[in-house]
Amino acid sequence: MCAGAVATPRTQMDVGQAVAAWEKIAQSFSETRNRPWDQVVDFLETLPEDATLVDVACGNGRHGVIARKMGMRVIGVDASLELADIARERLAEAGDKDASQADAVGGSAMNLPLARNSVDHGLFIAALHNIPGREGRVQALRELRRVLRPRGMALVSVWARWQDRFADHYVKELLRHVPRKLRYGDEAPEFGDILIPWQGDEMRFYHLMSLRETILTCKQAGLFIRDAWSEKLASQWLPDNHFVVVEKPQNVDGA
Amino acid sequence: MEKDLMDILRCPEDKGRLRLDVDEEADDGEVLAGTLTCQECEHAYPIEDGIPNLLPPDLQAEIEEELEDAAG
Repeated sequence: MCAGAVATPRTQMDVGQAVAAWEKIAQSFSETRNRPWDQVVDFLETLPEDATLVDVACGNGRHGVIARKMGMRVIGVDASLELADIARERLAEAGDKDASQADAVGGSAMNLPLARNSVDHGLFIAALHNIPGREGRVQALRELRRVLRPRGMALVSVWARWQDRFADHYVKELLRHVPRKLRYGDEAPEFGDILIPWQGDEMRFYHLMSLRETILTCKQAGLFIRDAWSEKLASQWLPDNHFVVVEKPQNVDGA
Repeated sequence: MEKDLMDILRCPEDKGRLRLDVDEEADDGEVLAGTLTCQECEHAYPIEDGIPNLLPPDLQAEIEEELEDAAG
């Protein structure tokens, strides 16, 4: 396989494998992720300045930093301790210590280390697609629902499947998927699973989705859909990101 | 890690409350090193360089295994 080419995992990935890749590339990855997305800033501007915000899979903290500058209390959670370390430093630099608090915590989106109803609002940006298996993705969104207070809102974003960069890969996948399913059965990767090399080397796991699948996954986790749309951030023809604003229903036990 | 965070931090496995033992703290009271122990399952989670590592133990072990394989 030539450097830089995407691939399909042979079988389903386990979470440890998927996370380890991020731990390895944390430093160089962080250097390329500095500019916050306008869509995230716009969402944060709709929230009260004294809100407590959880930034699930916070990466280097580029969005948490914006929230903290607005005055919010920010808790960034990332499964990569290297990234959590970078986020901690950046969050500390971003805010006035007396005005608000900021912390970075090592933790899994699928098992958030937070109490139920403990945060007002949330971000889950460009990370749901890194969780292998539909069940795992639904579990992560259930965890988000659990820690949000009733009526708490969160912005969820994922990379789009049918975008310029990967469309030809997925057209070929349409033909390959069924034979693979016959050969590997339940072990076969899901349609949408893809390995994307980081700087031509370390393979990162993604499960790229349609907007419909993204919405259905959120609904399956018991979240209300308040808004959902697709946008072109870097691509020319087809949208490369889906955004969903979700809300925790008023009448759930949060479990 | 700020001590106020104890109000909302929980064990990732059973969501039990955690007990904080501080080994080292900064002048402003931020916890730099210590341990968080689940009061339900008694699993101990380390705080290193100011960051509590609350990854589920199984996942933590899997990640370490992967990183060792890659290094070795």
